[in-house]
Amino acid sequence: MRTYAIRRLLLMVPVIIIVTIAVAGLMRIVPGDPATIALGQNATEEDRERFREAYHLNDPFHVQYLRWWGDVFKGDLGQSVVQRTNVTEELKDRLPSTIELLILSGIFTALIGIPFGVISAVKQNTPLDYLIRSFSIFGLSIPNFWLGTLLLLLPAIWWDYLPPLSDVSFFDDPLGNLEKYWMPAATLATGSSATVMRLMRSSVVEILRDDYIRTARAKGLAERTVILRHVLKNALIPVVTVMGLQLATLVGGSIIIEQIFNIPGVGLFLINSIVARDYPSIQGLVLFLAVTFMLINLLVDLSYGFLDPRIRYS
Amino acid sequence: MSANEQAVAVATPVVTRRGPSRLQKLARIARKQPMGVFGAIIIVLLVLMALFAPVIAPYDPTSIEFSSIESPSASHLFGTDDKGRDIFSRVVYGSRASLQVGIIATLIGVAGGALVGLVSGYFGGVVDMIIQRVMDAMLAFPFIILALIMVAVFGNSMAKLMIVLGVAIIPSVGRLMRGVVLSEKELLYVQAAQSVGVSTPRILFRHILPNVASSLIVIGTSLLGTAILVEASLSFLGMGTPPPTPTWGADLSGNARVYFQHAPWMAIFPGLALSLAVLGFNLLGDALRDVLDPRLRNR
Amino acid sequence: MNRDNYWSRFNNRRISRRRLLGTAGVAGSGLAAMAVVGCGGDDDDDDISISTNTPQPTPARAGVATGTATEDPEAVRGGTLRTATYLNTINIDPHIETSAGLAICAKVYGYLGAFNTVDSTFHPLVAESVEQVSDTEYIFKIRPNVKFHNVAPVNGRNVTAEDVVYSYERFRDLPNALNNDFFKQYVDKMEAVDPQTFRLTTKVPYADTFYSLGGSNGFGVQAAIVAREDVEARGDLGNGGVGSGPFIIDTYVKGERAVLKRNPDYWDPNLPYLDEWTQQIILDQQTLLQAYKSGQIDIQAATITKLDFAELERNDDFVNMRMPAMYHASFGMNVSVPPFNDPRVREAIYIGIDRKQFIDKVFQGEAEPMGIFAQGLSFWALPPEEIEPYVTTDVQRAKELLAAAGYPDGFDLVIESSNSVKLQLDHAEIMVSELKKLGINATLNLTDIATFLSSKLYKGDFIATVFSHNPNEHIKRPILMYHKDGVGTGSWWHYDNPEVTALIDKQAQEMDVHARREIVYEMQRVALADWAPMLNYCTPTQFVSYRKTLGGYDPTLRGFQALRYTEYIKQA
Repeated sequence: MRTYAIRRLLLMVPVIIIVTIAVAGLMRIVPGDPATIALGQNATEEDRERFREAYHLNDPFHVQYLRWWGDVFKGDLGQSVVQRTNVTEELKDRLPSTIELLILSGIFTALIGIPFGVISAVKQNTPLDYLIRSFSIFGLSIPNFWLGTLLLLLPAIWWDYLPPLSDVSFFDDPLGNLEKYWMPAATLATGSSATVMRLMRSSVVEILRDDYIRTARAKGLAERTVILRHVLKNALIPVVTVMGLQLATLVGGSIIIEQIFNIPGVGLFLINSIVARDYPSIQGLVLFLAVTFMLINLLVDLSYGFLDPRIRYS
Repeated sequence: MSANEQAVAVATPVVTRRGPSRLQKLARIARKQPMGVFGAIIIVLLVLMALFAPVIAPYDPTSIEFSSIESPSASHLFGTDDKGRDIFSRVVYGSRASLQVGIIATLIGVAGGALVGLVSGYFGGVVDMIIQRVMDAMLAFPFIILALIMVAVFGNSMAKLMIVLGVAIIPSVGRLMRGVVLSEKELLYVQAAQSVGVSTPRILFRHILPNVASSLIVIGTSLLGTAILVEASLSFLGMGTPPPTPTWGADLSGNARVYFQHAPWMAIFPGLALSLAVLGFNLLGDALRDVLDPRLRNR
Repeated sequence: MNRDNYWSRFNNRRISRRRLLGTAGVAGSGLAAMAVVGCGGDDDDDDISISTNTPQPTPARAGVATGTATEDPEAVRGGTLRTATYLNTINIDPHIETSAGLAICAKVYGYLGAFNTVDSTFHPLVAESVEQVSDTEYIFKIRPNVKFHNVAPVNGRNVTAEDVVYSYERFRDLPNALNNDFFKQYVDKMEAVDPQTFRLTTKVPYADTFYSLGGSNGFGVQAAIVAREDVEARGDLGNGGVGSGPFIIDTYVKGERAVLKRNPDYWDPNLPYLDEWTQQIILDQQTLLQAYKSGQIDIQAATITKLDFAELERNDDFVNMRMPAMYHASFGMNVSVPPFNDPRVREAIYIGIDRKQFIDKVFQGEAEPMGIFAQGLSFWALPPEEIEPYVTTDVQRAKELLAAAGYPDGFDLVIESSNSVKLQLDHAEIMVSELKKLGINATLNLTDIATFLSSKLYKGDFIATVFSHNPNEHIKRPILMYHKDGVGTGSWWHYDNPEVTALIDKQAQEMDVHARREIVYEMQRVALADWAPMLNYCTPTQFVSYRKTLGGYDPTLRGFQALRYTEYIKQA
């Protein structure tokens, strides 16, 4: 297992290089540069040239690119020229919000998806199963930005209720914090819990038919033991994959939710950076996101080894 | 057929056509998959709506001649929006943008992904490694972000959007295809073909591809739903199909939210349409998966 | 100060030479009441028709503005004013920030004076008085009792002319400072003659000097006075700084909120009334509006629609009013190539489109047709009667003009715009519809804002474009858009009308506000008669709403209000 992990880690390096060069290069092909947005409509071309000189934007591409890597190794993901902040600082400020959103929605997803998936599988083809499956497929199909808007605005209109506006840390005020985050987390969880539910169901159904389950039953073990001890552990494998993937992709999907529910997270920072052509921010963020995504994938793959002793990596 | 090909044909699994007629088989499948049928019906209706939009929609969807913010009535089934456009007409025409972008993007993605997966899985070695790294690079960040960056770079006319989304889909399809091809590669008929010297492209396209086609269909159908949602999300963010082409996503953003309290119908109907469309494709995709390819059930 | 006096001042304004622009008769502190630039006397009293449809600024209420003289009986000490914005404030360095963060700076830092853009008057603040000894030389006397906040490393020392010089030089020299062209291009010398005397000389007579020192860009004033040791200790003021204003930064969480507390050592013992001032960032406008309605903030800050406003009007807890806004959308035409090089075609556009469609569809009827300047620039904009011929609709005549110009069947047109700004998009969509009536087949080419600005608008690379503009409370920028050199890099429309250009140059140097306005009026008339390449659609109505419990607040004074420090919370 260890060699596998190391090999995967090493393989991440070329991927990261490809990704960062591609993003840095692409952004420089696009018309517009940080000076355009940073200086506003009233600036003159001279102002913009001065700005570019000050931030070394006229240096050759490889110089800029290598300088950026130099900063990264010093721990500085980039100095945002447009939004006048430091990418690492911004990330430190914003990451907790996004992470909390993801964790909370992950918890909702697991709490809803796994049990209902199991129930659905065990009660296969009964009306209960159909009911659950209907809900889950609706959940998959609803655009989450629509759902989010409805969840936020309808209670505001009907009952004058709004979740708290300022961001409170969970450690300072758990209840207030949860009150702010439960709605967006629930919105995000709708889609992912539906996926998990369906996957869990098909996974369990498959396993329930498997021989070794029949053996366990034949041995006389109680149905509940059978399910809990044997079925779950194995059924969880594909589910873990998907949840891992979801966690990573949710970072992107949370962009709109962050905006609707006023959560100062990473997604919005990325959008603003793209619109503002804030090269250092975009590069820093993309680097961060790419590394995170790949690490999560790696962790998920490694976790297979724990969940199913039959799977081993050479 | 040459002797070689005959040999291969013997080893290749073949779907027998004897037994109940195709129509009867279809009916039996339909009875077992009522949800799938429901989904198929939704899709058919959707396609009809898109094709016959000029007939179904009472007004020009971009015409601003009516009074703004009128609640639903006999003359305006879904009411009018803030610019005085008939929402029902916009929803009907909006199906075109969603379907066009969704279908073509998915076709591009599936075709590209299939090619990538076939080549990567079959040849292995260095080719595989390079392709996989590039695919990983593309998969290394979430779909929407990739789409956002590409739209910012290349622009968001409808044509460009289709290509961008299609390209963004390729890695996911490619990875799945690669996995399928890897296992397929070990099967007897492939080795048989190799041993008699059938050319590689032939093996790929004439032998392996048809057998993995069902996987592709299933993947494609559910990806269609995703593509439609991503197009809507991009439009919601203002980076999707540009106005004045009516699209459900754009109609849900901007003014629909601003006027929500006074004109909720502006947001409700496009959202419903979107949900229904995606629902249809998801249901159909599910049913297809159950029928065509039990291998993919755990996906 | 009653209305008559205010309006006679308005008519007789003049910055005359050798006039001591000071606290004419009112001792000590406060602002709006005082320092009106030269009352009455030796100038003509022309009959200027003032546009009557713009709300007149409320004269400063006696006592609240003057501070020491009489106190407003209603004014109560203490309390917290809670504000919010949907604009992401990331950096509150006053020399760099150009957005909502300036509201924080306005309360924290000291400024030489405040410029009231509504009536073009300058009100000394940190300065006690200003004397304009010539067209290009200004002498400011610094108040002896203005101190920086009692915060390390400045520790409450006095503000001197040296600080003013340092601050302005910093504003001029910071690479990412914006809107400092006054200091870069027009200022010749700045010196601290002695600790209480600051002398500024300009290279040429420059009419916008006072505006550059104390005028708001729509959010706040940038030429703040900072302390050298503070800048050197912190490196930059992005997260706060030591100022000499009536409030001290207590908490600043970037991108989230700011909490300011009363400065007990402020030089005006009567101000501020408030104990605390807070600003919250709420990115989503719907949420922002709901926050106001549910009582979490005191001043409504979202861009709201007529329907939302109607709902607010029904609520007795709020003071609600309408004002003409500043921002607007425009249709720009490239006049160096066909079809818009032919003034007949431009005329056809002007009278062919129906402004009412834009007013009704984009603003639900809450807007007015516009000539050259937004009605919010009430001091400078031509009165509605004069722009009437340019905003009427006559489709028949428009088509005739097009035919005469050689386009009897209309023509195809690509309109460049950006998909990121809703105002632009809304106008652009309706423009396509309006042009269709004239037989012009227009399509929109949308790009994101950075692409649009850098490769289309700034380069003048378009035939037609729809974009939005915010004049930031003054004509300084928008007027340049009709100049042959544009805002510096050449006219975006490739427009070169020598008469208009000459008038624009002339008004920039006319120190007499009264005479300057005449020149600006003339410039508008000439530009309109030439069917100017920048067709401004309409001025929207700005809906203002704030809690009844808020006193001493006059939103019609716009940015100037932020520097009056007269707000208070009426305790129940």
